[in-house]
Amino acid sequence: MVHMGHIKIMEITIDIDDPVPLFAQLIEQIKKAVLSDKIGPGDALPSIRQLANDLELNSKTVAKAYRLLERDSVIQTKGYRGTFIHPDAKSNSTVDLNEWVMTKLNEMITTFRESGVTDSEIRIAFGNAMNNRGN
Amino acid sequence: MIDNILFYPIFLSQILLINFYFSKKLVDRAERIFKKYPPSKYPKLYPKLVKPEGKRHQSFNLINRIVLVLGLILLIAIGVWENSSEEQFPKVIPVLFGLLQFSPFILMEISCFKRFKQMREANSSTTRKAELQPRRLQDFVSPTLIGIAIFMYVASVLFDLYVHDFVIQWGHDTVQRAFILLMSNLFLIGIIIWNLRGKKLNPYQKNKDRFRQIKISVSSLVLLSITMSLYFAVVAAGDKFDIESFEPSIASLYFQLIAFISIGTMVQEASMEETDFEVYREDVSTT
Repeated sequence: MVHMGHIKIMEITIDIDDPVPLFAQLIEQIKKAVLSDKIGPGDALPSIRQLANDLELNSKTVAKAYRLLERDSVIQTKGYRGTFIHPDAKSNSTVDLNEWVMTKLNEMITTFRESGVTDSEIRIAFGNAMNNRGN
Repeated sequence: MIDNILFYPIFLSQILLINFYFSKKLVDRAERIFKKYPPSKYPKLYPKLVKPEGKRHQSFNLINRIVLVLGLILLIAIGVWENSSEEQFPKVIPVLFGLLQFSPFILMEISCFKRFKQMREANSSTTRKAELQPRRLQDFVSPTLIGIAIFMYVASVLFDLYVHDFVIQWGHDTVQRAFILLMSNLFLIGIIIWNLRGKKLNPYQKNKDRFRQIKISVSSLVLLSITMSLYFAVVAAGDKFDIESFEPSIASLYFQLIAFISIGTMVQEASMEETDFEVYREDVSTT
């Protein structure tokens, strides 16, 4: 946290060489800032353009991170007024949808294997399901 | 004539202030930085010395000296004109010369942009930092000052219209002035937005230094807007109150004020002392 006169500035860092996708790094950093009370409900976030310029990223990357954070109710967009931290951001930041998806998939794969389905059959079925060709 | 007697010292002050005093201050500051933070210890500050630092300063000094000599010649020429002619010298001359005076500083700014580009190209760091807070205008300049700038703009246009009996005709001085003032203010607004939202030019600059730099730039741009409105109002008053003969002196004072606001902020001693130069060391991780 950097102090600039009366303004407290919270900084985030991303590593462009990190194998974790840039949008995921952004999501993680913002959630961490919420969980550590460095930013709280109602605090304004920088615009997509500002953050993209500062981090030398494509605007689409930042937009994707914001979209996913909004889906998880960690942030909320109030039209032209900008983007703000959601009132329930702290509790919603602990929910990791990726982890939940992985848990569910693991459970399902275990059930399939126990029923004798081979890994290649699971892959084909999964591919078909993702492409909506399962029916 | 009193207006001409006043003009000579004012115009001389314009020549010396911009192309001697401020240019010297700027070069002195750059040389102090070069001595205190040499390329051997702070290589990131000097990414690619296409021209040796000393030569860059020499070129800047040379252009300033040429403009200074031209100004002195112009001053003598105006004196000769006034003594040998019934007519007053063209009022546009101090304005045109004022624009010429700023050219070395504009070239210096372009050179700074090139240096920042080289810095970005040379920056091998894979980490990027950003502040998680929007940069809003009111964080950098007081709402009162913004209010004064808006009021001065509206007041200047209305005053001009009042002086000319609210005659609105395309091509009329009032409309031209209002248009120029509007375009100039839009240009300043564009630079302010670019300062607030634009790309980070210096990849090594700490956020607190960037914050201070934006604050200085935005404040001076708002002050420039106020100065422009004031000048245009005075020029409009010239049509009504018969002070047209003072216009060259007023234009000269206007340029000096603009120089004071724009170049004056560039050479602030305090900003150099507060700036974190350690980020330019070889062994320091970048921001």
